[in-house]
Amino acid sequence: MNAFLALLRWELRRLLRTGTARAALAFLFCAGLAALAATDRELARQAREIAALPDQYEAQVARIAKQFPAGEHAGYVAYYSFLPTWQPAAPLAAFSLGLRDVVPGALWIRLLGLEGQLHESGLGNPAVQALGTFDLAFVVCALAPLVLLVLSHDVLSRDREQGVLPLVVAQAGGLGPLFAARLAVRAAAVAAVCTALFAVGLAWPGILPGPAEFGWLADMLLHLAVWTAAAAAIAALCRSVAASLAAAGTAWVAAAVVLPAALNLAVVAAYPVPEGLELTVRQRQEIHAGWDRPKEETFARFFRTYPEWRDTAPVAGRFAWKWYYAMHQAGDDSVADASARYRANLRARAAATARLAWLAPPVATQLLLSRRAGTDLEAHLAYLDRVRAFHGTMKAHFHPPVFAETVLPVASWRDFPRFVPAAPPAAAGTFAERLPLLIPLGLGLAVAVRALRRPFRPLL
Amino acid sequence: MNPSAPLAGASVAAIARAEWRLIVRRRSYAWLMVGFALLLAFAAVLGGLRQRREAAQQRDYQRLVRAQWESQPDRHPHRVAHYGTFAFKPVGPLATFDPGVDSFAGRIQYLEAHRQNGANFAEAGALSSAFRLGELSPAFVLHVLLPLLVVVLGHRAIADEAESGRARLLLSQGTSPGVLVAGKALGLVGALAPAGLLGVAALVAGALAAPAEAGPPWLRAAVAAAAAALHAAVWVALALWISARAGSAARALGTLVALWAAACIVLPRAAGAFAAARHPLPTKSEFTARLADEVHRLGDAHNPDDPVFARLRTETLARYGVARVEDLPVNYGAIVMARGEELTAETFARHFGELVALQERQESLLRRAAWLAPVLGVRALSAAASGTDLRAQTEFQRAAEVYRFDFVQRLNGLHRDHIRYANDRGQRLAADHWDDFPDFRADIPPLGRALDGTAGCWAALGVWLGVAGIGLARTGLRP
Repeated sequence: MNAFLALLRWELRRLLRTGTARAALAFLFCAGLAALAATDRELARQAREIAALPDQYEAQVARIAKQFPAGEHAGYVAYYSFLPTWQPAAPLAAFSLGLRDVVPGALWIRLLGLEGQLHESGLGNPAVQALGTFDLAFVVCALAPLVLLVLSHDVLSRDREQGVLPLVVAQAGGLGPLFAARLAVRAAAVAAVCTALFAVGLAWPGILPGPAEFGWLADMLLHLAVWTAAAAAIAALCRSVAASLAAAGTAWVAAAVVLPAALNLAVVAAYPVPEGLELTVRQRQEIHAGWDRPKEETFARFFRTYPEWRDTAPVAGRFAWKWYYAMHQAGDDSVADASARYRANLRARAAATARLAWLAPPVATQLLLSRRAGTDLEAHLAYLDRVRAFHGTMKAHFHPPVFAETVLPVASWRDFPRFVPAAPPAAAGTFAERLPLLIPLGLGLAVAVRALRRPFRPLL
Repeated sequence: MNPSAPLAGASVAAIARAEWRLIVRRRSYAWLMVGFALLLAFAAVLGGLRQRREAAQQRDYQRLVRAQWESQPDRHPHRVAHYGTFAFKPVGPLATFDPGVDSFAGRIQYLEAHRQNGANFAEAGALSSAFRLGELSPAFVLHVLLPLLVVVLGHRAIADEAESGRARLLLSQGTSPGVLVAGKALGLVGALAPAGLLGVAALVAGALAAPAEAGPPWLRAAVAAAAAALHAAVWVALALWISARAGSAARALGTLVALWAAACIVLPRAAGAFAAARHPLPTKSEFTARLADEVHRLGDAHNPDDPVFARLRTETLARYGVARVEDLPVNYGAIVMARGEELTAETFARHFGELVALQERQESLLRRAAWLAPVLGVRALSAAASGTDLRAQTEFQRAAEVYRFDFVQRLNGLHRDHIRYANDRGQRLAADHWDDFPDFRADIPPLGRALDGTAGCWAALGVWLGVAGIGLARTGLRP
């Protein structure tokens, strides 16, 4: 064991003396720092948005109060009142931004039909978003494997080409220990840089790591382990530097660049989501058709969803707020199936992506990391569900005064429901979701061991 | 080594032929070409299918919305203004080839009175987080993967000759370094020709798939092709230059792959993040709150003492020579509404203009970053030529707002002239008025305007080519 430790120390010193290794590791570290800084800026912007919501809401209340100093009919006040909802970012979003920069982090909701209020795009610059996220997850999923492969594809082939491999093996006390030591120090160096970046990312905002953070770190290291196994297989199989370089390059370009992009296109093409247009257009048509229908018809439909208002007096005049909101409810009810299909389709897309992740470990890791960070599609859908629930709370609050035709004095506006945010659902993911990583890991190691066991061949 | 290579005083053509033969006879060549072709076909076919499906769906809904519009019953004009309509973003002429920003931009905008809604349903909000790793399109294959193919095929061109000592031999026997380099470049380009032709085929397919209105956009395709070819040429020069300088083929490949990963994969993202941090955009809530605040301060139509609307009232009464709004021959309520719409539209246009200015500053920073990462230059040019860039999105949103304003004001005009002031809301306007409203039409920015401001991208690509070419010409290859 001591001999192996000495070998490790020797190999580490040798690795860190080479210019390529130092340059590659420095590049990785700098790219990681830049990614952390970029994510930090974006999250700070989002945090500012959330922090400003109460003031913006107060300003809105003040504006409406100026308009209706003596209070106003509940229906009217509700019409003008947009209530803020928001989804705070979990600390781990600093490492895995996921969809956070393309989906809205805050939505202002009013009592009107809900579905049309959920899907508005943010103000982000699509030209910037189309370039892809630049976060630590990207650095870990795409760049770290490249550095690892560059450093380790030729741990045998270079010495073999120079004819000194038998000598080096003899000095190291065997091919196995030499191979293991060389690969271990390279993997450790890359893992150390990534872990250092992780630590910087925690220390920067002063986060105390908990189980979630360590879990994220573990998945990151698992991903690096997969690539270490791939590097081991390539290094053990390829006989020349040119061959190992070509194999390593192909593996990286395929798994980290081409396949993720191709899988995304395949999923988008195979799982159309036409419900977006459908529900938008249908909801509008339904809501406004109410103006031309007998009021009883609209109310009859409304009472199916809200039977507790069945005994309300019929509307005598041209207009009543309760009728207005009943029309909007009819709009939501009419697209409830489209909305459910919309969500089901999105989930089907995500599930298909997860199934295809078998083909490309970086996709599997990206999904795991954004899931743990609460920045994946599921987290966004959960936020929209909370907004739906909050819209229900709003209805529960406003329906009684709207149906009672009450004037709400300004003082009572303080009691409007407040959205209670929840941390985004972050899940560790199941063992099965790690199989697309664990199986290539095992395969790579098995291939490497088998190749090395072949008597003498590796040396020649 | 290659036994058929010419030895003495070889001509450019002979060296080119020898290099071409050397490359195409490698076992990997056929595989690489097949892989390239399959990927391009995959991107073109699936991208084309998806594009066609979405365009067809959009057309259907456009028709449906029009039919719904025309089949409205008698309605009060203001009711119609709240019923509103939808603006659909036109599909870019080469969107199948280069989807540009399309996946990240909303395609449909709800237009109604008093409110400027944002564009809805960007594809990016409907995808798993893996989407952020990249999106495959024919343009992606040509902009990002073709350079890699250049690197893989070209890194050995001069390094092998230098390593084996044959370069020295050739040069000492009267072949000038310029001829050697030119021949190598030509040979490499010849070997890349099938990939180039496939790229052209993808562009032609994209042009043929373009929305039919204006015929196939050949000029746009030519611009996109020129940009992609120029970018590929940059990488040919870089590959040969580094091949000449690296000393060994393996070192050349390592350097080139690192360069490619940095320029094509890392720098674009880093540049995007930098642009976002350098010119931070307001968040949606900030934008909306500022807008609402300013609109509120402009005037309050409900307040009889409000100076803006008090003046409007005095002026209107004076114009018609009456003392009370009830005596006006037109509906004063509609006049107030039209004035309010004007004020909010002006305010919105200013705020939206500021937002767009920030986005454009970010974009111009990305274009300047083409001096560091030429792929950003070709991306910008290609998306602009394809009608799928930020400008196309912005012009769509602007056109939608212009249309919305005209549409609402026209309804306010009908309200003013055809609805009496007394019992205003109890009246309806005959349904035959609705048919006269024109459909929303937005044009993709014409090529000239689309390419406005992209001179820097051409320059960056040209200078990269020039610098790599000069570097290549002045490598240490001396007789």
